[in-house]
Amino acid sequence: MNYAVENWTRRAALTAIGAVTALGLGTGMANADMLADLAKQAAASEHPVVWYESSKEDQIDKVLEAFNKRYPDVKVEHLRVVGGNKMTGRVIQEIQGQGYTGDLVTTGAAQAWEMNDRGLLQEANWGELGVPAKLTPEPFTVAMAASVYVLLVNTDRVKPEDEPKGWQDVNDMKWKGRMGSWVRAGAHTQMAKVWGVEKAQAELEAYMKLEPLLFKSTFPLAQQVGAGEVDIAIGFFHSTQPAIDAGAPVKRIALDPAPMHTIYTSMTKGARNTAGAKLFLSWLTTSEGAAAYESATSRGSHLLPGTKTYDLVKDAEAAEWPAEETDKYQETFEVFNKILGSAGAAR
Amino acid sequence: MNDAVSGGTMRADLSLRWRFARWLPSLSLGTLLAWLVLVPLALVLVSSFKPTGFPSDPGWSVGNYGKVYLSAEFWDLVGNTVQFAIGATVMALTLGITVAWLVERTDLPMKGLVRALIILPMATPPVLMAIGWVMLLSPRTGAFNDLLQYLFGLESAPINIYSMGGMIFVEGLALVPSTFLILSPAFRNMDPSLEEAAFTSGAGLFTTIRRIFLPLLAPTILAAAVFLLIVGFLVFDIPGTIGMPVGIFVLSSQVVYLANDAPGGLPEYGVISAMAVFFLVIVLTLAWSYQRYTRISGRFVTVTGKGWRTRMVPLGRWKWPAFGIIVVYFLLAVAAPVAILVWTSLMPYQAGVSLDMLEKATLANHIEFFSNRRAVQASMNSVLIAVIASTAVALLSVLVSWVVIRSKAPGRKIIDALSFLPIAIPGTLIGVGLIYVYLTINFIPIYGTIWIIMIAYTTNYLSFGSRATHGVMIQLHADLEDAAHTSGAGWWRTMRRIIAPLAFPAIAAVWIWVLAHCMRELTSALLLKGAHNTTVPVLLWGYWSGGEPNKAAAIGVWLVFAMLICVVGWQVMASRSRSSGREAL
Repeated sequence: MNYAVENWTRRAALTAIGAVTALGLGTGMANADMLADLAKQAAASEHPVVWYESSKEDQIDKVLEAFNKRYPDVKVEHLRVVGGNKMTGRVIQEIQGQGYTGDLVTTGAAQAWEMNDRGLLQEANWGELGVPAKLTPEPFTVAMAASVYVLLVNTDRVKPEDEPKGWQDVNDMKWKGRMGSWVRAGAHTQMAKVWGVEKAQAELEAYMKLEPLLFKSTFPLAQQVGAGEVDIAIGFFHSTQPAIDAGAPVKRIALDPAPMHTIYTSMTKGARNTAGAKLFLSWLTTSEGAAAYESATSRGSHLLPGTKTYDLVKDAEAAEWPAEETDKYQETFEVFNKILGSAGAAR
Repeated sequence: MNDAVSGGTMRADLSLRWRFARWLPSLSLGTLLAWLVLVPLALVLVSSFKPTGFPSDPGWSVGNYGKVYLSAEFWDLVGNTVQFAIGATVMALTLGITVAWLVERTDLPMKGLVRALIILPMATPPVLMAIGWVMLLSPRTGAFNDLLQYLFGLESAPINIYSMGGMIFVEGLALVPSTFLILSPAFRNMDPSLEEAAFTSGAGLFTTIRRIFLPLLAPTILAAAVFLLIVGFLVFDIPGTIGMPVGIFVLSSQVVYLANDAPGGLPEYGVISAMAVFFLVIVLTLAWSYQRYTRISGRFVTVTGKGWRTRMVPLGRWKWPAFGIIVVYFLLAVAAPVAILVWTSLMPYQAGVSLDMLEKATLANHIEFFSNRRAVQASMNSVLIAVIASTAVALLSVLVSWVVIRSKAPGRKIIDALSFLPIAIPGTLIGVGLIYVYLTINFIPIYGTIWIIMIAYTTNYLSFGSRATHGVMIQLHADLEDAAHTSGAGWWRTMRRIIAPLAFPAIAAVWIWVLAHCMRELTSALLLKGAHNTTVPVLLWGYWSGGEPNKAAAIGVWLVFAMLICVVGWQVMASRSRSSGREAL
């Protein structure tokens, strides 16, 4: 590296750290002794840290490998539980039945707040463990990543000049019979926060006129874009990654406003290795942990500078109902799901 | 005086023993079935009356019933579901009866091969089969549509798989192996003297089928129809893959929505349970109708103590056209989906069939499967669970059928209903029920182990097993057992030497069916998944839901291969059994 580049890099890094600290997003200077103490307690526990999360096991293996490089004696066991609702159901059943459950659970906002309402989550002083304040809207949970909606385009079937540039091109009738969608109206529901419910509903109704093919999950949706079954779709950034990695002709186009769902990780009252849970969760919010998680799962934090997800949405307006308005989100989601469910060529 | 007293005591003692012996089959089997079936069922009922659906939560309410039964949407879904279930049942029965008759009662060529291959699609996970059909018959990218357009110069695709017709077609094909397995033993066990008498009296083939075969096989056909109808009501993969994209939803779509995506942040188990009560009512009504229909069981007896040799109906000039029908069926139901499965497993990403993509073919997905350390553990778990559960179901089914059909034990109708009820409980709810049971009963520490999955499967598949063995048991004449008893044989010996050998085709069919379904079952396995009890379908689903359908297809290919080995073994056993059975008779 030549001197100029090195100097620029150092200056840029210092500027970024300064800016981040000024915004209250910095690592908060974790107490090293405290972390070392937690690591000792966690390693001494007879129970591993059990983490309920939805990513594939081989992806999380890489995250745990990175964690164990820093904390080799702390054992973390990942259990893949797909679907926040089912995960919450499991936590409730396990605590009611056996008194303990996963130490950490990664869910959406609705599930985290529901668990907290039921008194199932433990609070912690995450700030003193170095977790940036902006990631902990409440002491019972930590915002660790986000699922961000993007436009997916099949590059074999859509010429570059025809590609949609953003929301303004989505409801173009040229996509009739060529559009794909998740069967749940998550994107439009989040857009209602920015557009207002009325406009979002009107946009959704116009979207229905395209007779989008509806898919149960966004992963098969991305595959169907790759296979040419649909030419474009609104899907998640991360669920398109496997298709892109495999060489499918799929391109992602960022949206502005960018609808997204923040993913929260919470420590349960049924945790059996609390020290390990605190240590691991706080590590996930460090630049090292966040990078490891994002690199493995393609889901990163839109709140942590330096992640790809941050870069993806940094210039866009975030469209998401805040956690304290979860009720409003749920109400809109239910109505919008019914509207979208009545779409489809067979209707 | 003393003699009189002791005589009275002896009589009382004998009467007590006699009563005990009379009640023993119902009591022992009833207790086991109650544990397997009633406990999860009770939890379903409790859940349906809980505001949150969690049985341990406080409060009671009928609100869930209101949400379900007062909703116009629910009845719309019922309408779609009835259409789908009846269509698929009619198609599966028509094809299943035709194939079973051709294989078991005619001189069709290459029957061993046909019998072995017909059930192969059963090993294919339904979601992959549905994706395969989309890849063949989608109006945009379907290979078969492309071929038809090319051959006939058509401007647009002639077939649209995304339709109710498409759903019925694929589900109907998927149900044919089950239909065949239920019907085939009954066809095989029919006394040929009846059809010989018909032919001797000048009746033609179709008259014989209409007047002899169908009436005699009515209980088995009815049992199959009832089973297929309920499966059609509950199945999700095919409607979810083929109907959902164009907005055709069925009841199971709603169950999946309520379990996974309900906006409240919790699975709506209470509403699902209230819906399950609808299935329970249907199942009980169908079971009651079945019992009413078969109450004069003597009408359907075809296996008596007289020696007989199966007479094969000569097809004559129809032999090769009939074989042609079988070939077409194979191309549609076996070759096409399996070929698409293989194709998908060789592709780096999901892609239609084309020469361009052939250049990208790779074995990477198969290599990944064999080099995945979790795959070894999952395979061992799956095999163990499948073997134990299928053996348990086969044994329980024979016992249930014997008690219900052959014995005069009191309470046998309850046993029958208990054995059939699990089919009405969605896999999700069986899983939820078992979690509660085994989290609460700490002295049976099976939560998170393969044993809890094994219990879920045994419960789940008992309905199929008992329906299949009922059909055969009803054909066995009571004279056979009476003769054994007169010759001094006890219950066990009679079962071992008379009932088991005669019912063997049905027992083997049940075993192989349950084995195949255990190897692909997902719903309960996912809910009951712990750190060390992952099964192959869970692994496969992990790939599929993680956006790697090609790796999932590679596992599907190896599941089909494993199934092929099982089927070949089954056929070898069955042919030996047939030989020894003939010798014995």
